[in-house]
Parts: sequence; C-alpha cells; structure tokens
Amino acid sequence: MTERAPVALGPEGIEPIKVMEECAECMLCQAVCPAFGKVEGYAGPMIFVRMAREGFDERDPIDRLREAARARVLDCVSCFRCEETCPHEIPVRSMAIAALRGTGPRRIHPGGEAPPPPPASWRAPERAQPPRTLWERLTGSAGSPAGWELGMWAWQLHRVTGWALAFYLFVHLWVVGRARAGPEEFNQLMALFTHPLYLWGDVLLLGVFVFHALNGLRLILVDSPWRMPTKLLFWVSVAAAAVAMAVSAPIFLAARKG
Amino acid sequence: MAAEARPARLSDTLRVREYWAWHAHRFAGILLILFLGAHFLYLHYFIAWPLRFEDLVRNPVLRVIDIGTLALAIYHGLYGLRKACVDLGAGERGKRLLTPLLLLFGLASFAYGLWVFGIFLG
Repeated sequence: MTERAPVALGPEGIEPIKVMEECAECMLCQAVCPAFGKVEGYAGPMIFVRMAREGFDERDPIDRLREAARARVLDCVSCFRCEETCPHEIPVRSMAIAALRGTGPRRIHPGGEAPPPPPASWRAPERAQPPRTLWERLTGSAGSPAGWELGMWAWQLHRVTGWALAFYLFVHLWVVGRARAGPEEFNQLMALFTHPLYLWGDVLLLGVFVFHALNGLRLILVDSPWRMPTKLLFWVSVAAAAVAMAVSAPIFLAARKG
Repeated sequence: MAAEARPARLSDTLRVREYWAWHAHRFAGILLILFLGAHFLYLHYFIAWPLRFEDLVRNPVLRVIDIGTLALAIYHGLYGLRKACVDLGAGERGKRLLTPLLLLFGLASFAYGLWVFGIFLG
C-alpha cells in the first residue's frame, strides 16, 4: 500500500475535478453511446467521466491509463453524442476520454499500480437489445435516425471512406504487381487506364483520400490540448475534398491524350 | 513504491500495450498524408499519362515514396479495419482471430509489394 502525505490540491488541480464532478450519473451518455453494449468490455462514457475524475487528482494512487485501456477507451468512435447529450455539458469526449487516451487538454496523473484485472471468468454484461438489422450493424446506428447528429455522420463517412481506401489499396497492389510480367505488358495495362471511367474514378479516389486524411487530422486535433471547433473542421474536410476534386478533374482527364 | 506526482508524459501512455498500436496508427496516418500526397503528385502532375514503364525505373526517390507508402498504408489500413470490426461487434474472440490473420496478410502483402518493386530497380 502506498503511503501518501495528505497534500491539498491547488485551484489549478481542483478545476478539472470540478468539471467532472458535475456528472449526476443520469446515464444519458451511456444510453446514446453507439459503442457501449456493442464493443465487448467497453465501459461507456459515464464510467470514463468517473475514471477521469479520479485520475485528475494528483494524489490518485491508481494507474488510470491502464485501467481505461482495459475498459476499451480506445474504442470510442468520437461521435460526440455523449458530449452533446450531457445535461451538465461535461466535455465527456474532448476532456475525459481524451485524457484517458493519454492526450487532450488535461493529463491524467500517473498513479502507481494498475488496478487488479477482473477474474478470467468475468464477462461484460450483455445488454438486452432488440435484434439489429444488417443496415444497423453496418452503420452502427442505434436504429433511430434521431441519433444521427453531425458527429455520427462524420464518423460513418470516415469509416466508409476507410473501408474503401483499404479495399482500393490491395486491388491497386495487385494491379501494379502485373508489372512483374515485364515492361511491355505493364505499358499495355497502363494504356487501359486512360479510359474516362478510370480517370473519373481517380478523381473520386482523390476526394475520398483528402476527406479521410483531413477528417483523420480533425480527430487527432480533437485530442489536442486546445479546444477545437469539431463541426466546422468536419465541413472544412468535406469542402477541401470537393475543391481537390474540382481542381484535379481537368488535369486528370487531360491526361487521356498522353 | 511511492509514485511522485509529476506531469504525465507520453511514455506513461505507451506503457499500456494497446496504446502503442493506436498511437502508431495515428502517426502512420499523419505520415501517409505526406507520402500519399507525394504519390498522387508525381503520378498525376509530374509524369505524363499513360504511365510508361520507362518513366518509373531507376528513380530512387520514387522507390522511397512507394515503399514508405506501402508499409504505412498496409499498417494503417489493416489496423483501421480491425478497429472497424471491433465497432461492429467482433468481440474478444473475433479479435483473437483477426489479429494474427491481419498481421499475416499485411506482412504477405508487404513482401509481395517489395518483390513487385524489384522489377522497377532495373
């Protein structure tokens, strides 16, 4: 057991704890969270607020980062529904969850020992859920369009563009692999890719890449020490993708003549 | 042991193994913006279309960009897929199955990519 001198917290140290203490445990955030109840072992936003409240206390003897990792804090999808729903306007995602991920405006004070792991027999409680359709499983929607705020759309778009880019990557690798057959075959293959359909596909690919890249940067910025206009940044990435496509389309399509 | 109260550092975060993969995913994402940007630029803005084999050989800069892009994209893409599968409810059992599968697939793809790039070394 760690012996600690009873140190009083200064106003600096108390401030983030006060923010977390606003939590009335109404569980609204748990109810709207798309990951809670679906990701196995995911503790949910309310638990993370409580965890961060303990971790912000510099006298806290427990390793909250490790504890949060065990509670799957990295599986938060950054949809901000908890933050938008919270009646006390606690910055659940941008402060508590960000800190438990080891980033964000407030740092978790390093505790000593990690709390003991749950026994091997322990299982995350199953939440009774109505059967979900394939569409709901794929989109991660809770089944009601009411839950589709902007953050949810941004996350779904990020996910879909991610799947598309990953799929493209391996198809692309396979196509480029045909180069092994020799220069002539390669040149013949590349000549096929001057078809307008392919060139338009390339324009679309650029747009998808620019959106995914900038929205990804936005998700990193959300975890930064500064408060971010998250919604505005989403629209910035959409607009940048549109501009990149508009600027590049004539250049890509002109390539048809070689 | 009495842990001194000191500001948390990145190394504290990285003690937790799951964070390694996650921070690497984000870092790879940032680097990919540069690498894929360069890849797009040289293919579409600096080289005439249709691509010709002769334009691509014996250019060490392009090889560095290609191999870097390949490694980063495979890691970033497959970790992202794994995370999406977890979101879709893969669970602990699914993860135990996914991780070695994706790792194997990623390494095989990278090896294949290196073999393919070999021909451009001329």
